Amino acid sequence: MLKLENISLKIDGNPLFSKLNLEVNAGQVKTVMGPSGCGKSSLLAHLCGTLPSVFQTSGKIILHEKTLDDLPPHERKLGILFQDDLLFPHLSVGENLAFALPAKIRRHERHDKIEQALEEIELSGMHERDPASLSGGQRARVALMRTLLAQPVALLLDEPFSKLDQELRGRFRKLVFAHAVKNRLPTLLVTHDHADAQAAGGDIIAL
Amino acid sequence: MLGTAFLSVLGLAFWSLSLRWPYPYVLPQRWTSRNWERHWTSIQETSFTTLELGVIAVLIALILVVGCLENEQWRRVSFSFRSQWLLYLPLLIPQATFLLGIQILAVRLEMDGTFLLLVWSHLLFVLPYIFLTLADPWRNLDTRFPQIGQCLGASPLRVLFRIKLPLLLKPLLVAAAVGFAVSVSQYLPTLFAGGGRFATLTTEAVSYAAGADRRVIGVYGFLQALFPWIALLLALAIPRWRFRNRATLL
Ligand SMILES: Nc1ncnc2c1ncn2[C@@H]1O[C@H](COP(=O)(O)OP(=O)(O)OP(=O)(O)O)[C@@H](O)[C@H]1O
Ligand SMILES: [Mg+2]
Repeated sequence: MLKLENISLKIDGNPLFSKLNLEVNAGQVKTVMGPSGCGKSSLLAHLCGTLPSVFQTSGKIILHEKTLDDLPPHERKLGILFQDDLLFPHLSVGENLAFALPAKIRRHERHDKIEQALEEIELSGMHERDPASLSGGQRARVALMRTLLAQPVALLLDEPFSKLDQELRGRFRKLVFAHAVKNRLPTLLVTHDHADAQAAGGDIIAL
Repeated sequence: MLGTAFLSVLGLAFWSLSLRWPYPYVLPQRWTSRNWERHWTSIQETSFTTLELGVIAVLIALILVVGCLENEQWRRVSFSFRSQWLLYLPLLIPQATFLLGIQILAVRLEMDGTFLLLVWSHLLFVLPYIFLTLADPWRNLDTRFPQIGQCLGASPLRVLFRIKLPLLLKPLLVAAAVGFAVSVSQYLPTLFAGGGRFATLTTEAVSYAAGADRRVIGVYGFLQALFPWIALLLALAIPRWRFRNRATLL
């Protein structure tokens, strides 16, 4: 379970929002909505621990009974998807996926895992491809799979559907939420798009 | 500009290979490799010293600059104005004065004429150029890439080596080439800090310049110009080769 307690964000002393309380259970999706600039992306960056120092924060982030606030970003085990897929442009599709695999997984096992993952997103045989040579929908699926391969314990979504065209959008939404449910991940979606919020199915919190 | 530079390097090469090159002719009348053969041992030695000195100074400078820029980002502070001034100091005050001060200090520490001091004196001039070349590309790198790397569970060190340095390969190599060119061209620091004990292509070229034989100047002048060119060529070619299958980075 992901729990936010009294989260407040200020930028240079000016409050963006204050006292946000929120609980998301395993396999559940909750949506935070608000107009552009209200601090949705900043909230997720705060959860990840990557918020720049111009922001001041207070409150508590609790994930499975553990407080995250003092953990460095790479130990928080939060998976995040952005508007842009942010595939590393210097790595191949397969290397992008491999980057996310935890170090404890052994060499031969890594190879199998990546082939499996590629198959699952209908990209078998694309291991060596340049991410730039994939279509938008394919790239989005690689980004999702990369996030999942890191074995996160919660999923954060920062409008990951907004740049896809209408048809892709519906399909990719389904894929993401299906994985969230399958892996029993508490999922937090931030968006200003009503259709996305509706499709997520869970409670909607206005910011 | 590039054309002029290229022609002058070519001119030096011709000089070094000429036996007779009277005035109105565009090319030497008679060719010889004698100038190269006669000085071959010295050419090899000075080339090697130049290369060694440049590579070591550039490597140290790169490590320091990358460390500096990393520190700036992790601690989320920007380099203070005061310390930046200090970095550029060697470029701002007259070289002879500055080097004399260093010389005096070195004699006190009984370090004058050592290779270590020589490297350090080159570092003083290489460092600011590398910092200047690298700082902007480094700060302009899309911060979301290192961020997503961290969120995927990569430690800061892994993010540095697997994401930032590869993404910045081209500016890193260009900065290295610039630093190398600066090191190759250093005359006074090499003379002062080396205590006259280390001959580089530049010190040789300058010392022959006093003499009369233009052909020997041609040999050293040509090599002195060639080294930075090769470094720059490599800096541009390596990323193109490395990222030949990566459209966004070409
Ligand atoms: N690095 C930064 N430095 C200074 N101000 C910032 C920084 N990042 C964001 N801000 C400011 O913080 C506020 C919140 O930004 P944020 O990106 O969280 O909004 P958002 O709700 O995600 O908007 P959108 O829906 O457009 O994505 C904005 O006013 C923005 O200008
Ligand atoms: Mg946003």
